[in-house]
Parts: sequence; C-alpha cells; structure tokens
Amino acid sequence: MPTIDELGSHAAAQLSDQVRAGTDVEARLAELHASGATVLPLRRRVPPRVWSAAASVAIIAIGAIGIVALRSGSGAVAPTPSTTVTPDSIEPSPSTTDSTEPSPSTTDSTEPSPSTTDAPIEIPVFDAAITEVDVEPWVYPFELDGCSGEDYCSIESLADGRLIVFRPSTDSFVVIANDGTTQEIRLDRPTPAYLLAVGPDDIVYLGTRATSDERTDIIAFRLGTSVATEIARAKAVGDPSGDTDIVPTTNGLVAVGCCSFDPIRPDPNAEPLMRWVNRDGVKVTDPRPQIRVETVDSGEGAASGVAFVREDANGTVTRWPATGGIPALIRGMPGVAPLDDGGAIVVYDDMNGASGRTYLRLKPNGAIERTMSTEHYAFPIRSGALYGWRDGSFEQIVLATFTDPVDALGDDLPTGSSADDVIQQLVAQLLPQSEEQGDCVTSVRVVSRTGTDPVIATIASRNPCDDSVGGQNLTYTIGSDADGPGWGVQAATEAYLCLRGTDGVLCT
Amino acid sequence: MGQAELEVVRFDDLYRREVVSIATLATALTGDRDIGTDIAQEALLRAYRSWSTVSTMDRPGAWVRRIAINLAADARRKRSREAHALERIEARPVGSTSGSSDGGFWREVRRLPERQRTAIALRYIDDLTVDEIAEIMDISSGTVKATLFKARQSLAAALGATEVDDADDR
Repeated sequence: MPTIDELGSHAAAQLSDQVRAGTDVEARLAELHASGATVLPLRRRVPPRVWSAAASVAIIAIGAIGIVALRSGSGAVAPTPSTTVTPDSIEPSPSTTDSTEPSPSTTDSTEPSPSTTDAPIEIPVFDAAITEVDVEPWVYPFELDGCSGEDYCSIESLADGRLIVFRPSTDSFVVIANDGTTQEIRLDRPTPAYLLAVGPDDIVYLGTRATSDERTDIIAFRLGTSVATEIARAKAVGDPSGDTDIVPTTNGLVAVGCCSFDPIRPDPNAEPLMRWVNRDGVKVTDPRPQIRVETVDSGEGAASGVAFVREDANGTVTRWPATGGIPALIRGMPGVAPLDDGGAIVVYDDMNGASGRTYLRLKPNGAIERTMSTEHYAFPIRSGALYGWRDGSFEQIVLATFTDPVDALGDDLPTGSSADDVIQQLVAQLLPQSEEQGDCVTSVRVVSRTGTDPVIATIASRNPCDDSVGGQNLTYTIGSDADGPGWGVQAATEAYLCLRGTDGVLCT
Repeated sequence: MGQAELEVVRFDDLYRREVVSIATLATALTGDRDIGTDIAQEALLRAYRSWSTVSTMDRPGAWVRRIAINLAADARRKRSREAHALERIEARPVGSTSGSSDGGFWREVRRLPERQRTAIALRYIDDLTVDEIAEIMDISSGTVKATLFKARQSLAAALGATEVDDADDR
C-alpha cells in the first residue's frame, strides 16, 4: 500500500508536468510585459490591521511620552457627503484609462507625509479621511448539510431578513429563519446554478452553470412553501468566462466587466441582462437604495480615486469621495449593500497586494471606517450583513464601528508653548487610564496630526479588555492665541469604538 | 544596463523560475488548469507592479505564492466566479481519476478544509519545509504540523493509503 507522501509526490509531479506542457513560459512573460505593466515604486504601506502590529509600538509610545508622531499638513479632510434631491445632477466621471494598470496613486496614497520635525515617527499615522477599525471582526460560523467541500452553496437574504441559501447538491433553496429553523424549497426544474440575487417581491434569481463555453441563462423563481417555480428566464445572457460580475440595479441585473475599469459601476443606464419581475412575471423596478462606484478623474487622464454613491428611490443621492488609503482603481464590482441607517457597506480586494479583503463602512455622517482582514473573506448580502465561506462553513462577520463623534471639550484641558506640547500633555492625561491586564494592553497613541494653525490631532486609546467599549478616538483642534498662554484646545470631539459586549449588543 | 532594465531582468528570472510551480499550485487548489495558469499570471503581475518592494524580500517567491493562494481561495469564494470555476472543473477535470494516474489525489485534496488543502499543496508541489509553509500561510510551524497531520489522516482514509509519521516533516 503506498504512503500518502508517495501518492502526493507522484500526483504533484504529474500535475506539474501537465501544467508545464501547457504553459509557454516565454509567451506568457511577453504577454505580461505587453500588458502595459511597468515597474512602479511601491512605498511603505500603512499596516493593514493596526492593532496586532501596533500593540508593541503602542507600548513604546506609552513609555516615551515625548515621542509623538508628527505629520505635516497633508490637507486631508474628512469626506463630506453631498446630498441632493436631483439625481440627474450627478455628472458621470469621464473615462479614465483603458489600461488595467493602476495609477501610482494607488500605492502612494497610503504613504504618510514626511515629518516636518526631527522627531522619529514611532507611531502609525493614518490618513484622516479614513478611520481604521483596528479590531478583528467577530465571526459566527454555521454549517448547512450538503454545503461542504465542492458542494458550494450561495447565500442571500429575503425582504424580511431571513437568509436564503441555494444548495446545488439538492437542487433546492434553504430558508433560514432568525431562530435557526430551516425550510427547504425545491426547484420545480432542477438546474445546475448559483444564486445571483433576490429581487423585488422576493423573486430569487439563479445563474446557470455552463457546461462548455456557451453563454449562461438567468432564471427567476417564485418561492412557494415547498417548491420554487420558474417564472421567467433570460437565455444566453451570461458571460461564461467568469470575468464578469452580475450586479443588481434598479431595473434588473446588469453585467460589470472585471477589467475595463468602467468609470461608473454598475452603469445605471445599462440595459439589464434580465429585468426584475414580480410574482406574476410582470416587469417591475426595485425601490431599494442602489450603490455604485465612480472613478474620479485627476484631470490628466488617470483615475485619482473613487467615490461611492448611494441613490435612494426618493432621489436622495449621498456621495462618499474616498481619498487616501483607498485604491484609485478597484477591479470589477466590489461587494456593496445599503444599510438601513442611510450608509452602506463596501467590500473589495486589494488589487496590488496580499493584504486580503477590505471592508468599508460608509456612515451617514460622511465618515468612512475601514477594517482589513487576511483571515476573513466575507461578502455583503442585500440586508447589509456579511457572509463568507471558510472550511466548509458559512461565516457571518460582524464589524466593529465607531459611534458618531460628540463634543468632548472639558475644563481640564492643557495649554502649551506649541501644538505638539499640548498633544503630549493630552496623551499624558490619558495615560493614567492605561493599564495592563494579563494579555490585554491598553494603549494611547496619536494617529493623525494635520494642519498648522489650528492643528487637528486625533489621539486613540484602545482597551481590548473592555467588553463593550473597545476604545475611543479623541480629535482635538489646537490653535495659537497671541494674547493667551500660547497654544490651547479650541474644540474636541470623541467617538467610541463599539465592541460586541457581554450581551452581544453593540454599543450605540 | 540601467537600473530599471536590470530590475526587469531580475523579475524575468523570477518569472521563469516560478511560473510553472505557482500555476501548478493554483491548479491543484482550484482544480482547473486554465484558472490556475491565470492566477499564476496575475500573482506574478502584481509582483511586477510592486517589484521595487518585492525584490527586496528574502523570498519573493513566497510572496507570490501567498498572492496566488489568496486568489485561488477567492476564486472559490466569490459567488459568480465560484460557479464558473465549478462549471469549468466539471468541463475539464484536471488531477482527477478520470484519465489520470494520480488516483484522485488532488480531487480529495480539494475536499479538505481550506487550510489543510493549502498546506498539502505547498508540501507536495513545492516540497517546502514546515517553516516555509508557515511563512507563506502566516501561521505557526506547530499549526502547520498539526494541519498536515490531519490532512494526511483524511487523505489516507479517502485514498486507502498509509499515513506517514509526521515526525518526517522537516
């Protein structure tokens, strides 16, 4: 009987031979060079997940109060959503580039500005426009029979929030209620397929799997108690190459190519591959909010950034221009979902690096929170929840979030001879609250400093042992006063980082 | 030769040395040679774009493998691509018992949990040590050993093979 090592080594050699025989190395290398790629300088990246990387740095900061990260006026400002009731006023961004080449700003944008002083940068500094949520997401895994290994199941949500899973191994949907009970609904016509979307009226749309290179179908199913009935089908509309995302819009499902970097994705005027239908098979539109991504033209023929745009049925348009730290180009269609609070979730992969998946929470007040993870690959479903697939189980991902900032201008605020003198005193004031409890190290650090007069500084404290409030970000406006003692705090706000808490409820 | 040209030559060396191995790795993980080859190309393209950083690493090949593993995992996870990948797997089986003498080894590997699948592929395709696998997967060497042990147990049961002593792992 052979050993596993013998089988493995033999299988590896055989597979390698097959691949080698089918790979023209020189031709592929020439292809790569011809793709227009150039060797771009990649500057040092901001650590994608700050907490683990910064814990030791934070200790350094606590021990050496005088070392404060300084950043000269980057001009970064918090994004402000612009709200309008005239969706027609949105100007499509001009086409940026036909190349798949990301602009250099993709990598440049995360580079901290050089310090204007001799003080060493010992503490990570982030772009003020993006708030890092530097804690791991919470994960709630669950399994469903018939969904392991290559029996891939896909997941969405119905209008009432229940989950719906398409299970190819049984040609059926499984509806999962909040209490965990399940209901199986079989297809009236078994079809190798995957779940594309749940449209208006809880009509469920499947994309068929191609058995060769022919184009695929999109099928609409009406859910019954135990049987799902096909009510409409768009034939041969899907790209079988796997390079095209099929994305919901107001009118139906449209195609978004992976690599043409269309300036508006999805294009609201695109002709749907399939229009939404109601339970009677009549064409309808979707009144739910829509999210799209627009590239922002630098004016020199290259994308300088992206804006995320939410459009509600009442005509309200909310725009989050995303600057530093967000790639200027995002491949294909990121995962998007509107949130009930007027914001949205956006999920995309870093096109140029190994940093895994980026989760953005677009908040109604214009703030953007970012969580990055190499461990979890979740995708937003229509309800705004995040689900991933790992080791044969679904994972529900819950992201921490900051509360809206509130006024924090107290009585005991320091003055000093310079803005940095004041910042150091503010850090020192927070230090007595820092303590070490077993493996938990509470930290205080300066995460951003912008402007000259006034200086805007954000100081973050993190309390990993606290089961409810994981920390806070304090943002101070520090200005000079020629008639006063020098520099002082003119305004202050604080925002709390909410953790799950012992009762499973996020702080609000 | 200028610095930029020299960098291109150095990248080309890496490409020629690694592309087949990385494509094999991605093929084993996805079950499709075309997808595996595309993933290898994309991973190496990313290395090229980031060459000024990647070239300073001790083992640029490890960085590229990590990218390829992420891409392969993502190809399975992302819903539409997953479906397409599966349909292509069904259309053009690679590394399966059909017409192959590998005894269905890779098919069984792809039924393993993701971490086990990746560790086994790196172990056999690239003949990497436990420490090298740990570096690429960003987990501890002890976890790699435990993962390989579990994976071999499952594979032995599925394939009717003899397990090997995990003490043999370097």
